[in-house]
Amino acid sequence: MAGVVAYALTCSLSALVLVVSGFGYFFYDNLRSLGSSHAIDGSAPKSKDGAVNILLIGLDSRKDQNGNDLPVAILDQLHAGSKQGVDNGVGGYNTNTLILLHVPNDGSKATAFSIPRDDYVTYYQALGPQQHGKIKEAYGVTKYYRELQLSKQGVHGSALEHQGREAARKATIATVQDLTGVPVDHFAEINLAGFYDLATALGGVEVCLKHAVKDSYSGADFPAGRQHLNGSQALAFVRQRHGLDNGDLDRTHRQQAFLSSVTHQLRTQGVFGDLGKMQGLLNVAKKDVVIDAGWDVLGFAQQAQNLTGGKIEFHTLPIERYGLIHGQDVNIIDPAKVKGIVQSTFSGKRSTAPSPGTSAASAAPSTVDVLNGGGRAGLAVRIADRLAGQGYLKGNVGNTRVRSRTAVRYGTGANAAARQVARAFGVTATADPTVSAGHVEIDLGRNAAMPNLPTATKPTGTKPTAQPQAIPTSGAQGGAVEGGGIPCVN
Amino acid sequence: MTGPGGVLVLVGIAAVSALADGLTEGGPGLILDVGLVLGAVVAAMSTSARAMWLIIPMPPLVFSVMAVAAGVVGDQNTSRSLTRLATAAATWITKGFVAMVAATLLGVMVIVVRAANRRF
Repeated sequence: MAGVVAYALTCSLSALVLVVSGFGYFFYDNLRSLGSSHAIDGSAPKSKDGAVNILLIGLDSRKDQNGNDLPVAILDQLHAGSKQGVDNGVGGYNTNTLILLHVPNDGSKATAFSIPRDDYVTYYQALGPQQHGKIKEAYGVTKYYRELQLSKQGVHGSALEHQGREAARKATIATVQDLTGVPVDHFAEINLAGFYDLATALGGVEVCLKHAVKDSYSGADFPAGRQHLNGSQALAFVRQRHGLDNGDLDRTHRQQAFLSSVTHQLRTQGVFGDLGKMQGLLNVAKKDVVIDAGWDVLGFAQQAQNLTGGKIEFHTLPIERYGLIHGQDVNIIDPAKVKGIVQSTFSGKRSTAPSPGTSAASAAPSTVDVLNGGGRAGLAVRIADRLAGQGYLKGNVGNTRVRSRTAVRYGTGANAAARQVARAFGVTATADPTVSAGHVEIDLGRNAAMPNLPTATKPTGTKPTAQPQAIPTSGAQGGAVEGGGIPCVN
Repeated sequence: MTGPGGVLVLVGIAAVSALADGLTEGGPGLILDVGLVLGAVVAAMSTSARAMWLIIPMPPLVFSVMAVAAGVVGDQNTSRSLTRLATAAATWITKGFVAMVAATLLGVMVIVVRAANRRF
């Protein structure tokens, strides 16, 4: 009798294991089907020590994954403009949200950097004549030119849309990798409708505002203080920039606060134990979220437990100043500083003070900014690329006022590099206090050509990395937003 | 072979497979999946007719233990905390659902065929 009971118990336990693992397996299989993009291939550089860098892309598109316009009713719910506006290209394919998240493998705090959408950068793996511009446009520009190529090959419809988006994702990811100096291991892309669906599936989110706001562009109309927002309101909350002191930079804090609230909610409401809610989130993810095919989401969930425990800190990458390029308002950034901040933060070797502009800069290869003042189109990019290949750090690449002769100017600590570069151009380098410390600025003249460029001194066998930089806590980009709760933001 | 002997055959084959997976793949994988199915078939074939029913419920339970063993051998970080181990174990066992079903069904098929032949 005891033997029969024991056998029955054993069979019951075995059946339980099969049933539970069966549910889990089908859920996991659904998760695996999310990974449909091959924008990150196996040969791409990866983070070391088991850490993971994930790029979150928020696409300001009013179209679905097949390129069809979203229904008018949905546009109304999203406060995303009219059908005519969509036809006129409102929103386009701008990546208005770019957040680079670093999850260490040792359970320590994760860090996320928001990249302001108007940062003026050099594009990588982008197609077409526009090779630099606002980082938000790398996606749309590449998509447009890739689709031009594909159309000539007879590709059309949803295939055209999908392949265009794949090329666009590659360009965005490559541009972010170059800007930050760290690999992007995985990405997740969501558009307006997807964000709305996600927030709705979560049952809305709790947020906290320092001041009351009202904005007709985004539809935001909220009192000050803590409040619960539904899906439509949550979208307005993360989209609003008009009426905020620092515009888009303050908007990045809204997005960070939203993510913090979501992780807080996942933990406190036990979403992972609620099958109905999990199925709702999974349905949204399958419909609206695109991730790379190589991402083991379930494996990541183990690594990222701390995110729902609040061990995450958000920052916004700093800008140097606002500028105007080709009639567009842009953020002028210091790429070397950005690289220094991201690389040192992700590697855990955060500097405790801003690096001095003298001896520290001269100990490492200098940063070279190349501005085209009338030379041949594309020459600035080619020279900057060639200098980067020779060991210099690539800085700003753009245009300047037309000039007859090439000039080389330098900031504090970059005199040696400046003299080398100036010699190649047959000019004399001059010190200029308006040039950033550690930088050499080349202003190409009308008759400039590709010279025989010098090699920067660098440690043997290693790729030059940016100087470690402290994360600035003051400035237009603001300070950190701590995860794990409901932070109050502007 | 006795019933416990048959179970030991299944456990032994699965254990060797788990060790191989842990050392080469860093966790439970194809080697353990195949080892489980093979072990279930061999155990079902070699256990005496009177005791072969003992084998039927064993594959999921053996896999659950061996998957965790393979995972811990492959990545000792997972055993740093109980929560981390529990989450990892759930993932490892879930991924072996197909192998557990295959091993159980094949074991049952072998037993049913043997039982039918024995009648005749």
